[in-house]
Amino acid sequence: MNLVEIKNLGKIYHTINSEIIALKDISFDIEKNKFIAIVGPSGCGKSTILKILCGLEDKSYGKINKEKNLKFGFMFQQDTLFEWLTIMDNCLLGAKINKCLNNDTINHCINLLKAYGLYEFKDNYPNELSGGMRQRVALIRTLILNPDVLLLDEPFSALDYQNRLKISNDVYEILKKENKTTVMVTHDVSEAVSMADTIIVLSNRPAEIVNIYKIDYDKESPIKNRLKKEFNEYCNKIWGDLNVI
Amino acid sequence: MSSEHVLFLKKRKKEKILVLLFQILIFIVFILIWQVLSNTNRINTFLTSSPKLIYKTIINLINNNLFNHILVTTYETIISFILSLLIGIIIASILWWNKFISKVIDPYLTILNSLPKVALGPILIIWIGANTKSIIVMALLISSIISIITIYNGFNSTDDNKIKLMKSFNASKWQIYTMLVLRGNINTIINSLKINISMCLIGVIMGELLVSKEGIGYLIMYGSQVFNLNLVMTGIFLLSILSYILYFIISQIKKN
Repeated sequence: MNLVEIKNLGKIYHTINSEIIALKDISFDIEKNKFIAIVGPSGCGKSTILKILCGLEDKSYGKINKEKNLKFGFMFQQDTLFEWLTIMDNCLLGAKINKCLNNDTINHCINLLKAYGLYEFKDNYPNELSGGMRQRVALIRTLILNPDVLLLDEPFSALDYQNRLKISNDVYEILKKENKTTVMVTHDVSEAVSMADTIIVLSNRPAEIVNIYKIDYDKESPIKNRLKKEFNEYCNKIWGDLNVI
Repeated sequence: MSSEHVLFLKKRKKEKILVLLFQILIFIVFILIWQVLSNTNRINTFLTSSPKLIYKTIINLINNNLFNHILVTTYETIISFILSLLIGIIIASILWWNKFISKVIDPYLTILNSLPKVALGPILIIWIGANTKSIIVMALLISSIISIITIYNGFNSTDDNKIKLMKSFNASKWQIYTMLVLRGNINTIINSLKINISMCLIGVIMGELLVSKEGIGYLIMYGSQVFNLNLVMTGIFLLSILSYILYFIISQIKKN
C-alpha cells in the first residue's frame, strides 16, 4: 500500500542573478512500513524533498498524492534539543505545541524513554548527555506524536563513525519495533544499503533520479548487514551510479 | 574527595583571596598617595581635592540631603532601566515578527545608534521641560537603542533548525516566539541588562547635568559652577559606588 505517491516533483530556487533548478521530475512512492533511503552527492537537493513532503518548503511543480490526515515526523541532522528543557520536556515538545499533552502522551513518552535506555536521564538537561543519546532523544521526540511517515534528514552525520554505526543500529531497531514507514536522506551509501528496503539514487544538481534499487537480501541488523556479500555488491553498484568508482 | 581535589580547591580559594587582597590594596595605596601628596602640598587640593576633604564633604552633605540626592539618581536610573528593558524587548520582538518593518527601520536604527544623544538635550528641555521626565527620556534615548539592537540580534541568531523543527510540529508563529525565540534568548536579555544599567546611569547623569535640581549629577554640576572641586570629586566618588552596586545586583541576577 502506498502512503504517498510523488509524481514529477520539481523545485526551482530564484536568486537575484539566476534560477537554480534543485529538483527535476522526481517520482517515487512511499510504501507502508518500508524504509526508503535517498542518496546523492552533497548539496544536490536531497533534503529539499523531505522539506517539501512535510510542508517546510513549497514545491515548484509536480504532484504529491498522500493519504488523508497523513502525519509526518521530521528528524534533523543536528538533534536541535532545547538546552533549557529537560529530556522529558524535550520529548514532549511536539505534544505541547499541538496541545495534546495528556496522561496518554506522557505514558507513551515514559515507555519510549524506558525502552531506549533514557528513562533515568528524564530530568537531566541535554548538555549532560552524549551525542548518541541526544540523537535518540530527538528520535523519541519525533515518535511521540505517532507520525505515519518518519523523515530523517542525515540523522547521523553529526556523530563520529563509531557512534554512527551504533546509533544507526539502535534507530533501525526502534523504527522496526514501532512499525514505522521511513524516508531517510543520507550521503553515506553504506549507511543506506545497511538500513533501507529501497534506495533512490539522485544525480548532481539539478537532482534527477538515476536509479532505484530494491534492496533484497536476508537482512539482519544494520551492523551485521555490513558483513554480507550483497552489501558490497549494492554499494559498488550505487557508487558506480554516483561516479565514485 | 581525593587529596588532589582538596589541594585543587585550596589553590583556587587562595587565588581568589589574593585577587581580592590586591584589589583592596590598589584602592588603599591610591587613597594614601593622594592624601600624602595633598598633605605635603605636592598637589593643589583646590583643583584635586583630597580623600580627607571628600570625607568631610560627605559628612557635611549627610546633614544636607545627601541621601535624597542618591535616591533621586537611583530612582531615575531604575525607572529608565526597567522602561528601556521593556522597550528593548517589545521593539526587538516587533522587528523579529515582521521582517518588512525591520528592513524599513534598519537605517533609522543605525542613525539613532550613532547619533550622540546628548545633542538632543536642549530639545528635550524645550519639549518636556526641565524636570525628571526629561532626565528619564534622555536615559531612555541612550540605553534603549542599544538594548533593542542587542536583543534583536539575539532573536535573529536563533538556530534556524530549531525553528524548522517547531514548524515541522505545526507550531504557530506565536508558539515559536514564546517557546523558542524569547525563552532561548533569556541569556542575551540578561547580558544586555549589564550594558543597559551603565547606559541608563550615563543617561541619567547627563540629564541631571543639563536640567536637574537634585541628584548626584546636580551635585557635580553645582560643584563645578561654584568652583567647589570637593563637591565634584565627592559626586564622582558616590557615582562610582552607585554604579558598582547596580552592576553587582545585575551580576547576582545573572548568576541565579
